[in-house]
Amino acid sequence: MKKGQFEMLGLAIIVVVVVLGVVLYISFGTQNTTPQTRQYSTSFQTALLDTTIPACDMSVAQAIRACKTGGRYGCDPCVEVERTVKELATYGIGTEYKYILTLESVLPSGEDIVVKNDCEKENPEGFYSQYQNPIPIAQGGAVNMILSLCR
Amino acid sequence: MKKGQLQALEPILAVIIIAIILVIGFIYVVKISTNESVQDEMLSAENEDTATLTMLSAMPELACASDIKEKNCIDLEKAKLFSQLLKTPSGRSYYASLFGKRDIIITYFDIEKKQENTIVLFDYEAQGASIGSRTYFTAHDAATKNMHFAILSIKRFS
Repeated sequence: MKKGQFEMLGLAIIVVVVVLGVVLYISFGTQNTTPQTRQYSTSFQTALLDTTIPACDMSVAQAIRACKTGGRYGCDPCVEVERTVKELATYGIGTEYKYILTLESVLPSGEDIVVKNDCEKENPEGFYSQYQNPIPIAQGGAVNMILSLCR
Repeated sequence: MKKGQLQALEPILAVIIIAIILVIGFIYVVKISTNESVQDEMLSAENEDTATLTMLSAMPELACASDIKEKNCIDLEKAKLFSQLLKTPSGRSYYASLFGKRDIIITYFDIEKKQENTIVLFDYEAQGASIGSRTYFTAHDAATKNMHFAILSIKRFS
């Protein structure tokens, strides 16, 4: 085979590899947040926040505020929030998605409440939907509720 | 390999490479269009779910009392009574055009009892191919005055 023919073959192979790479990149790179998962996440979080925690006789949103601000309510709002969020996430989305649900800096110690099902925070490229919902608390602050659905 | 054989091989190689590129392009286009049509279908189903939930929660037969501030709230006691009404022939025929070819089911989770409860609001009583989807809302229990986490599941028949 002549030198020129080798060059042509090499060029053709490079073209094929580049085209293949672009196709694969576009195929896998465009599967981020879709309107469906956004709507799904929004309705889930809204319903979750409005649900009553009977032990505290307040909604999850109110219990999150109570947990963040401290005080006595006849129950431990932080424990009840964690338990309720875990139960409802398992019941509501656990059958359909892997997820990680975080209530940022909600505990009096400043720590997060994290509920997850087979989905790791350290692997953010595995998320295909991440929806953040700020819950207003006193003094103009907010607790961020982040629901990430995983591949 | 002789020079003549190599020269004959060139167009074959070119055809193979072009064929590979065309096949990849075709697979890509098919994949994208299939993905888009599935997404459109799912989006349409979810938009329809939201519209159905808004409609149900606005119906006096199901709406929560006016002092309940939560959006898209459904009263569970009313829902249980309404589902009984929809099982009667007159109730079914009266509401059939409103609910269409759909099964509409409410499930809610009682945190206190750790129990899932189901109310089949409307049963189209059909078998065969259907598309299912679901959306979340809160349902009011007038007896305990608690808001329950609830799921509206809709199964559409063609």
